Amino acid sequence: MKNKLFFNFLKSTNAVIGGIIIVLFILIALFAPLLAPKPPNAQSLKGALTPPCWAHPLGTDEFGRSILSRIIFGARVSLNIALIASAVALGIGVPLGALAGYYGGALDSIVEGLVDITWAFPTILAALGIIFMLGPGLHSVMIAVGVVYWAGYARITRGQFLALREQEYVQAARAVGASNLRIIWRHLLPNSLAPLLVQLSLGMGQVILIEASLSFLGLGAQPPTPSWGSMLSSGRAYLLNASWLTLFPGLAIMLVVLGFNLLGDGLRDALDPRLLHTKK
Amino acid sequence: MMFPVLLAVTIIVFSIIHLIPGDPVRLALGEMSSQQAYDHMRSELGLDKPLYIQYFSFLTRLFHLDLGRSIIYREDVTKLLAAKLPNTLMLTGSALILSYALAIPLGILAAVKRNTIIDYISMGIAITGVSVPSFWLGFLLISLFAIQLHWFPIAGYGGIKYLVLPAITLGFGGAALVARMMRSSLLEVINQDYIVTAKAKGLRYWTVITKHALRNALIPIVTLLGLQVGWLIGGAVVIEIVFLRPGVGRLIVNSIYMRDFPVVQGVTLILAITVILGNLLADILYAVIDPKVRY
Repeated sequence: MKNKLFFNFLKSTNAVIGGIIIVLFILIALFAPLLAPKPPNAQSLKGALTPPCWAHPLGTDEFGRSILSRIIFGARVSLNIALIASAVALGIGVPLGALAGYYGGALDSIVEGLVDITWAFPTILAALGIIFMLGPGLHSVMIAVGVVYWAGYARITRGQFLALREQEYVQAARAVGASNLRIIWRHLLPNSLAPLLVQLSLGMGQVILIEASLSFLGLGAQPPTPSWGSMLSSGRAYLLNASWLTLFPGLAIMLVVLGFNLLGDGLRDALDPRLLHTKK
Repeated sequence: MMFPVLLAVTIIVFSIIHLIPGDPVRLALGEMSSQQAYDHMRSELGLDKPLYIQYFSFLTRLFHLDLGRSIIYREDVTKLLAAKLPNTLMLTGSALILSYALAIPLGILAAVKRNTIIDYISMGIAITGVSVPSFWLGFLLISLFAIQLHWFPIAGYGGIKYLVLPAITLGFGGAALVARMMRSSLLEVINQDYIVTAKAKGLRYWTVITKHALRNALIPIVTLLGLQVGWLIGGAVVIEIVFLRPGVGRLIVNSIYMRDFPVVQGVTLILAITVILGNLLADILYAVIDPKVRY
């Protein structure tokens, strides 16, 4: 079964391309100190705003810092936030969705109501509200984005649990005396992982976009942290005479988000044989 | 479900001021402020009263369209919003129309020409569209159409010329989402029995698509409208900063910096209500387009 899934995954060009992009960015983030030509915050005012050249492949910014080095180290910031914020969202959404789907009744109504309330606020607005309370900074962004995105995971988990809880294997587990916790943990959760995995991949791309937006607004990463969003924010002032300041960080964001989106799409195809075998 | 959600939204927005770590009045006035100024603002904001009275008074004022007074601008929040909200709604509305006008034909074309180069290009554009940071796209458009070609102004606010680039920037991501949904929805409908029957009757292919398939395929697209409203309003916050448009986006970001919580509360509340109303509109349209749905 696992082999078949892996084979389906490899058959999806999108998934493979997306997977390669993500692995590349993870490697860049892991080996940033080895790959970056200079430290990300090393300034050289003499070399400020140098266009892309052999010495500085992606040019330098207003403080003479290497854009390439900052993009390489920026991968660490973006991937870290994507990982932690998604973990926060999963940590809130999956247990709540599981309890709502498994027990139903009033608990289900409460969780559904909370999801509706969360979705009444535009994502970035909700994140802005939370940052207003916590104060600007990367930690606030991680918490804010995680809190904002929990509802999607809760809705998916709830839907899966509702569909699975009356299946024969769950009834059999109940008949042999398995506890509710064991049924949820050992039977329902593993069978709900596929759609959650797809959502996680697509969601991580969205988290990176939101982090970039918040850093662009000056509420995320604070100087001199090399974050792609804050690089775009400071580069905006030089749009007329140094467009490379905004071009390359934006390309990096687009590439990594594209990677997550392609991977998510591909995973969805790989995990849904109906989709894979029908002509799309 | 709309009214409980609305009520919950008012509770959350009301709570913002109480969830800020520390004393909100000290934060707004600064540590060096006099006790007299402190007491005056505390009483002006009603913070010296019990919590339930504060909430009740918040709701009562809300019914009278009184959202409090800005600490920084020294003006009624309602007045500030009345001046800025139309600009944001104009941008959001234009982006919404643009995104649907672009996406529906693109999605139909991709579905009809599936597995051809047209399909691959359309869907390539669509997946790139959902991956591009909107504010970066704004920079690219400014560089090309404003700085290089001088077709549009770089930024600012005025006639329709000032609206084109921000609306395209904001609408592009939404269009990408709708195009992908349109394609998959139409593909699902095309394989239904009644479409095969319509084809077997000898109807022209495009007649089958436009008269029979499209109506059903549009149903999920209408559902998406509700989500799009929220997404576009959120996106407008950032796009207004990029294009220096005087809307609620700039207002809320400035207010967050200045710790002007009556404005943060007012903008958050009004935008959330706009999203809820957008969803309601989508539900109504859903019932109009799908005769099987009756509320």
